Amino acid sequence: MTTLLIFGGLIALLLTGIPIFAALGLMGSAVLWIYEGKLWAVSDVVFSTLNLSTLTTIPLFVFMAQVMIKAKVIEDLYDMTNTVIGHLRGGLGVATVAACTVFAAISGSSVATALSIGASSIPQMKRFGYPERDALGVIAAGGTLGILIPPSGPMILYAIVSEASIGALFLAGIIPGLLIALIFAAFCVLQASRRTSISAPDWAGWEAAMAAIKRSIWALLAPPVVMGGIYFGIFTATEAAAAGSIYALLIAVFIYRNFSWKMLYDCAYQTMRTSMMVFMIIAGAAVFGHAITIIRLPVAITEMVAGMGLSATGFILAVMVLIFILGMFLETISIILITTPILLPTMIHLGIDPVWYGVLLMVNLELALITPPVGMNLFVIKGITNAPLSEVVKGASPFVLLMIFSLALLIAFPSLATWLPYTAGFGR
Amino acid sequence: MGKPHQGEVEQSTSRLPLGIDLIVRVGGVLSAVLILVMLAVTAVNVVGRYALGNPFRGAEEFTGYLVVALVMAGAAEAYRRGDHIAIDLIRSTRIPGLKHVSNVLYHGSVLAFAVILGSTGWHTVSFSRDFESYSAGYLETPMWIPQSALLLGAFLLALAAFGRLVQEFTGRTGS
Amino acid sequence: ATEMRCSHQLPPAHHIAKVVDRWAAEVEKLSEGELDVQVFGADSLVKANDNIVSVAKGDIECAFSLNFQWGKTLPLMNVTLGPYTMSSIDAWKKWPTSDAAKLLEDKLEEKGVHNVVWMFQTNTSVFTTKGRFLKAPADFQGIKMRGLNKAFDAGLTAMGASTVAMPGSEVYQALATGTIDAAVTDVAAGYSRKYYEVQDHFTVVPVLAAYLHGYVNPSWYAGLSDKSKAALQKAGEEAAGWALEASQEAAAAAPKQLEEKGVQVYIASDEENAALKAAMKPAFDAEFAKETGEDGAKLLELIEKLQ
Ligand code: NA
Ligand code: NA
Repeated sequence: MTTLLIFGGLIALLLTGIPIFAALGLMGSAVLWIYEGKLWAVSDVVFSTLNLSTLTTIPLFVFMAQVMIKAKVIEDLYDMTNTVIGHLRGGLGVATVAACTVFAAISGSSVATALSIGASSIPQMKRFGYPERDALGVIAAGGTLGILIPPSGPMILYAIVSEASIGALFLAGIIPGLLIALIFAAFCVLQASRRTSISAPDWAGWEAAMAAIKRSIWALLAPPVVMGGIYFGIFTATEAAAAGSIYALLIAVFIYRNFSWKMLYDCAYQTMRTSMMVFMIIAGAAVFGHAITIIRLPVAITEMVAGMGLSATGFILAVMVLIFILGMFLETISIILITTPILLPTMIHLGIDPVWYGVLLMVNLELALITPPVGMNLFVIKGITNAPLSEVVKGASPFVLLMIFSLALLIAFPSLATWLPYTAGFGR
Repeated sequence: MGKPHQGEVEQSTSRLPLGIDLIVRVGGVLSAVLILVMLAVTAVNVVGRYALGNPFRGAEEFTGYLVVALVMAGAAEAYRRGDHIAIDLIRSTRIPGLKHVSNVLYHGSVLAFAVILGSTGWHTVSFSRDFESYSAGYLETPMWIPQSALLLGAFLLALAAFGRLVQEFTGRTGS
Repeated sequence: ATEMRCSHQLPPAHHIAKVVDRWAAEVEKLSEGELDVQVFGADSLVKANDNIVSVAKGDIECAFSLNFQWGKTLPLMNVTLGPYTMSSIDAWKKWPTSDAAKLLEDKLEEKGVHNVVWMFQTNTSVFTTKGRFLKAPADFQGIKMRGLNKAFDAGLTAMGASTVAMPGSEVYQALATGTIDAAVTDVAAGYSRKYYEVQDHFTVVPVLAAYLHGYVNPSWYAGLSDKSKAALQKAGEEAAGWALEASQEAAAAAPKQLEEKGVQVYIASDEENAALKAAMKPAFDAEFAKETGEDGAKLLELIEKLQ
């Protein structure tokens, strides 16, 4: 009953059209006021949630994207992509999924992935005639790969709580990550084949393709440079955002030579606006999350599922439904911290592989990012495009189904996740 | 951003009344500058650690405070520009009476949240001062200093929301 | 029943997290259900850095912190981080009822929290790195390490290491890629945090000791019945013993577990420990004295008596 009132109340509040951060913050405050009789935790939670150096990746990756957009680096990149694979129907959608996949290998955050790729790709996809809704959906969904393909912040958190191997989990995320990217890409081709608006120019020939690749070489080098920096230990995954920004500034100033102090400020200002909407929702969601955690709401629901006495398969299915539902309302970090310790003993008892479960959890948490009412990637895409949220939700909905399908595949064939880590020598 | 969009809520990005506009904009400028500072601090730390073996050990802690500060400085400016995301089923209505109600609700909710954030923030800051709470990190920062950003953020947000409510009731755009 | 929400930062399978759970059940039992203890581990309710103030303010009733979480807020709590200051297990056995512990309890009370339990967590650390052991002060010259806190790092810096700050969640990856060369951690944590996947040389040293301690909000505590207070007292004494056993077990098992994972484990000899102590202790002592003044000197005297 309490559960229904609180979740129902939040949905009602969101539907009134007040800012999402205010809805989450006020609903959290109301719960604290009713159950605790004091609100002191509100500002404590807002402060401690934002006071986190790993959050710098969000503004800094956005800044990198802004610099590349303003310096027209991205335009060259998309011109190149269109020249090279534009003649294939859905080629640009496939390229965008590929961009998300590559970015996911640099960034440990799905929000940063969606923000950076979205800000640069959506206008370009529209330039080449993609229906907006399709573009919104593919980025919202493609961006979620950030937490499944290593490095991944949430995976490390899960590993620490569950004591599963971080190295094994990182390896376990690779094949499912690529598989999901492949499914998304296939869907893009299918979708594009039914859209007449997408222009499909004739193949421009090798010469034109090589010229286009040469023009966009500096943009193409960005991912290997950043990835190399991470894997050679020059900087951490969090610092990669700063490194990427510096790289973008360097090519803007020295190669493209079209950058000014004014543009530097404009990029920072634009970054500020985009980051604000994300950070304020993160803060509001944390207040709401804290309020329902302290009254043990998710704990009670999770304990109920853990105590149902199910078989291994039944348990996994029930847990997946549970995470999906929690994922509609809570953000990834809270879900991992609240549910994992409670589910772990039952999981071990039933002989469920924690590495496999970790991958299922990540895919389900990716889903949480694109399911309403609280879906961070939906918000992010709305924020950077100003499209109505309903359009974003509609655009993302086929991908929700595709991810549920992927989840089913992973449940049916656990070795998709576990083969790589165990072949690489990580024991059970 | 900025470009009008079919079916989108008309966001009032007009100037706020009563001199509030300037204050909120200054917050926005500060926030943008803090992003550049964040970039510089992180870059200097990487170079210092990798090339010079001389890391700025406080960088991690300091960038955390920067996140808080830039959010608090910029939240009101983003609100002024209509950037904060809402589910826009009702607000995109064309019915005048309902539109007025939903606008009042929209700005009222921001004001309410700002007041809660400000009053609990005041408690947080003064408690940390009395308790003499320091960060556990290398900078050993007295916590009330970075926490004070909460007060700035709540103040700016409340001011901006108040301005929008004044406009909503007086019908002035303040330009 | 009176609700008692307890926050801590340890993952559920950590040996001390299990002691916390056992302590919670014991408190409930001894108070005959007057106290309803709800444990929120793994930072799931309040983050590690915020536990102290959250309890002092009364947002939650109870929390556990590792001693170095106190930092400059109450630098006396860092005393066990002194190189080789509290290395002996016998000293830890005497600790909960010692004058030294009493001094810290009084300081905590003055500060605004009421201590209810001391849980010894480790006196055995490992220096981890790749390719060679870190066993003599000279080995530390020029390496980048993740540090612990200001006072302890002073000792590492004295040997020529440069210490780096980074979030705990990033250390594994940073060790894997070589962003940092080495780390110092509790020997059991070196195993549970999978450092063996990314490091291959582990030197076991009793260089520092750390403890987790539980504390409650003083005005909440004042409102409890005598039975509840007695339950907390009794459970606290028992749990101190359980923690000592669990930590000794974990520390004893860890080197072998690490070896089974295929890494080189070296147990530092007495001479090597003496050399490390000579290199590190003066710098720590200077930093500690600067932070704690007369109280610090007095506490060190009391601790000397426990050895
Ligand atoms: Na990633
Ligand atoms: Na969701």
